[in-house]
Amino acid sequence: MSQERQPAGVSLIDVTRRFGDVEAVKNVSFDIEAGEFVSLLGPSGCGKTTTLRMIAGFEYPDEGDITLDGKSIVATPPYRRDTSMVFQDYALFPHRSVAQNLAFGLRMRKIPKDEIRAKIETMLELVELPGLGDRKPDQLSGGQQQRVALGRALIVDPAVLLLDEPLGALDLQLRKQMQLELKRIHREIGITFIYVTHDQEEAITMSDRIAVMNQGSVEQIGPATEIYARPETAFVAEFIGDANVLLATVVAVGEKPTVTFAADTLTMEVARPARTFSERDVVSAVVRPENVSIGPDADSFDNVYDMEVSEVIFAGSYVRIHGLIGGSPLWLTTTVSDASRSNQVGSRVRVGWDAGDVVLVEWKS
Amino acid sequence: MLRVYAVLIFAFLYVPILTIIVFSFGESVYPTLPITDWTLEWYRTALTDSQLLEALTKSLIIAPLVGFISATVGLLAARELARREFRGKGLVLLVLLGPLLVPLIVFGLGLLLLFSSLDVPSSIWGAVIAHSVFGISLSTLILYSRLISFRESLMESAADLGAAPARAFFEVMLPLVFPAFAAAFLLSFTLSFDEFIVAWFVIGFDTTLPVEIWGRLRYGITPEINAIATVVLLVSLTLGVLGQKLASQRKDES
Repeated sequence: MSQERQPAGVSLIDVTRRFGDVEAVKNVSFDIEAGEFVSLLGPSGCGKTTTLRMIAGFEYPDEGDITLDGKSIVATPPYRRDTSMVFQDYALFPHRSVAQNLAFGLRMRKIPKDEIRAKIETMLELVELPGLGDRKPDQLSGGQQQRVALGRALIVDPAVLLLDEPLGALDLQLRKQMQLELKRIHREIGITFIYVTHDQEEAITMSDRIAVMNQGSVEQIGPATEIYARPETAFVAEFIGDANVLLATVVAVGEKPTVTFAADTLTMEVARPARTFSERDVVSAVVRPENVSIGPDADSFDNVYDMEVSEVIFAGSYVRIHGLIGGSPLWLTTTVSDASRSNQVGSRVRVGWDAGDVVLVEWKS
Repeated sequence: MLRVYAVLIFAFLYVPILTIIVFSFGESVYPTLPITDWTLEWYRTALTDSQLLEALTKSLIIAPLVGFISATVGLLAARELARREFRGKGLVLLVLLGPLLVPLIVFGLGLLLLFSSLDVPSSIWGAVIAHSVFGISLSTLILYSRLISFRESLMESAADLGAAPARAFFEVMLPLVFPAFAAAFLLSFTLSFDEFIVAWFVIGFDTTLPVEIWGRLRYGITPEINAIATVVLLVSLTLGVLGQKLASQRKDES
């Protein structure tokens, strides 16, 4: 029988990839632990897929190095790399049956026929497609094709599984189900997963850590909770979850850092920023809408303002309220019962939030 | 009215061909209508005529070679053209079409001059090379239109699963583009099998079947030429139709 695969860590060291004059990936460095589930998250064109394809070996870095288990793999062709990829379009071989698709990688590794047969059965169980081995890919639903693609990549016991927006073509219901299933499979096999997506919810649901990419660079890498609570850039704050990003000026540093905003008409206390700012620095103050309280309770918070309500939007389990404080737009979310108590459009209400809920980042230019 | 037009057009297209076929079965040595007695005699004569058979053999050696060379070179060229984007690609495709548009007499003359200035002895290889020029043009265009819809991710996933490039080609690409490859082979085969002008220029003392037929026509049309022409027609038509059918097969299957 085959040896159990040890998961392997992946490191990118100052990796740059250019297409003509365009730097698709700029000086990217990060380390992924063996067995970790890491998502590369960002808008289209941010370089996440190019990064994944460099790990797979379909693209080469113009500069920098990529290591697998500490050894450089840049000079290793894709067919000798210990990585396996699930493609966005699944890339199932249309002229081969499901079983033959699953067998492909094993045949390339010259594994004996009866062993291949046994592995196919096991894999069909794992991806929950028992009995479908004789079908052709075009006789399967999108979700089933997705499972075959996953099985075909996993059956060769890779050290690292690379997934390029694998759920992008599925409908919402199926996508949620497959997210859970991918997590289950990751738990069961324990190899390293690197997952490319533009869907923040997907990344948050599944990953141990998220690398947020923008314009070819990694803006921040960390667990979802940390990225959400402590975004390091305005881009990250707006990309992960919802955020009010207020233009502010630092007026006090030290024990009680303070900024002014709304054209310097209002002041607000903020948490001690992760990086140091000086007085008169122009910054972005990030306030999450769910951290803003509304109504009489708001008075107990560090920062309290009058808001003129301009819009009340019922959004199912919560209500979104948009308004102006000192002429500056702000929005918040609250429960349906809280919202019904007050808050007609045009009315003035109290809003407030704690200093600890404000994160200062560099002003996005 | 439309029906009348259709009949007239098809008559215009096919009466000359039918004439040959009909006369090949006529008893009379001279082509006269109406045909009173029918016979297969001319087929027997044609198929026992050693000179004709030798010419047929030559054609049957040249044509498959041309088909194979054209389809193979065409596949390699089309693969690179289909997966790369570069400036002037439209021009390259247009230039590829060139050999199919140049008058054959000009092309044949040019090739004759080139071969004699390079001291290439005339032989069936001359014809193989000459016909491959058209065949490669044609094959590249046929295969390009197939490969343009070929998903590169299939080759990447083959590589990802451990297939070296040659293995990926034979395991994944060739089976998927085989209908187009076969079409290119068959159409190049047909092109070579019934091509006369260029062959006549380059082949020297050897003769292909069309050259042989032309040679005999100088002494008048004989019924056995009608017979052999009918055979050629059937072969060309069958391979041509088969090739067309394969070439126009569903292209979206991969």
